[in-house]
Amino acid sequence: VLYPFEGRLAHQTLGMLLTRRLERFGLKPLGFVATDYVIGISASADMGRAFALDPGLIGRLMEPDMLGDDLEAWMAESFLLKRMFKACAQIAGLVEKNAIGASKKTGRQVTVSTDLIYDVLREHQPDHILLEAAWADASTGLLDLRRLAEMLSRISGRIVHKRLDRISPLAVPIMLEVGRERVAGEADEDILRAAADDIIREAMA
Amino acid sequence: VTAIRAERQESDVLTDGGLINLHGAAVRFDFSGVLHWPEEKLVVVADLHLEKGSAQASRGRFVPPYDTRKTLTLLAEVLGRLKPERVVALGDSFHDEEAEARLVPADLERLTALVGSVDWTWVAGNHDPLPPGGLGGTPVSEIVLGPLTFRHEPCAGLTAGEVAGHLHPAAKVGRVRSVRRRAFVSDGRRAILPAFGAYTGGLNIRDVAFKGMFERSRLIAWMLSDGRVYPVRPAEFLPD
Repeated sequence: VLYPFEGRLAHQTLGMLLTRRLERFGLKPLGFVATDYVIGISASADMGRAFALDPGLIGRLMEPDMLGDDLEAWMAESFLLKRMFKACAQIAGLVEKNAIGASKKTGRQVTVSTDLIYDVLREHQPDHILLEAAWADASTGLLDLRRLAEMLSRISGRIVHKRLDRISPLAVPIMLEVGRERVAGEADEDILRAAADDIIREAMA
Repeated sequence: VTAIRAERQESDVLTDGGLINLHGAAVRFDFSGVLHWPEEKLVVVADLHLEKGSAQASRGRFVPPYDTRKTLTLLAEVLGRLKPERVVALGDSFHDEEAEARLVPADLERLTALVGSVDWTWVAGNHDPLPPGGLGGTPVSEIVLGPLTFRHEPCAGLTAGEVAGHLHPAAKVGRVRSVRRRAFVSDGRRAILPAFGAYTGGLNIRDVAFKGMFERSRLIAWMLSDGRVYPVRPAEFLPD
């Protein structure tokens, strides 16, 4: 749990970028949730232990250079942008919004999801007007880049990390909502590995 | 005794070479979603659903039309990696009977080249009951090779030696958070392949459509992931 106090939009952006870095550092992030005051990140690896073992790690995680290439790459594949795209696609009439209580379809019928369309368009027609609209909406609506940049340079080298043996009262509200934004990656592989039959899996390898 | 029995059962699932024992044939459930039978130099691919995008568009649902290109690119990669001499397309290769005519020239060229590069068999599906016209390849309703019969639609009830598609199986697992992936389903006697096409969805393996088709104690869903498949037992299957 981080307390940057920079507002929800900046926290949202920071959460996206931090989970990306955590993934690269092998800490297997599961997701994050941002409020106006706080960011909570959950991971299937023990982040507290990693930070205790390597005191410089937090500083490297929070380096201001994350606003460069990380941002662009993350935006392109992020769930947030896909969600923006979904909103754009609905407004454009490309897909219908599922009404609550409408007949539930099976997975085989719901074959044209906005995610699929998004991936296909990104690959074959990256200048598509709906992608541009989603990007524009996302950068004004979801990112607060200027504020985030100021914060990162201000805090550089001055981050305090405390390992608590219980949840602090300030962190309780965010702990209740942990995992609002999902991160796909190594954590998915962990889930699959846990579900798999070990004897067969090992015999195959 | 339990350990020995368990081990016996495992050796049943896999062959000595680490391949999967499917009714006496040593096959690989490839992470791309195709079935690979190295001994026969055979690759089986189910439910390509080519031109599904343009089919939707002709009914007034405008989705991007690049699904065929994406599917063919993936398939070309897989065939390049596995280097089969023979390919069986297990039905529903085209989304409808006019799909072949809607292929754009570049896609038509790529598909014709793929079909021409190997001994290609088109098994008929419910979406494409008529054999494809000018693409080459041999159209059949079903085909038998050694201990295995390849057909589009799996027959109801238990059976042995059948390889089918049609149902687009997918499995969902996970305790804290769930992961849903396309999957091969097999009890070692029959197998149902996941759909390969870019715009195809997956039907949860807990759906009633799969009921009674497999011997549950031997049932495994081989879930697709990057570069590998994960063998998962029914106790882990979650509903949607």
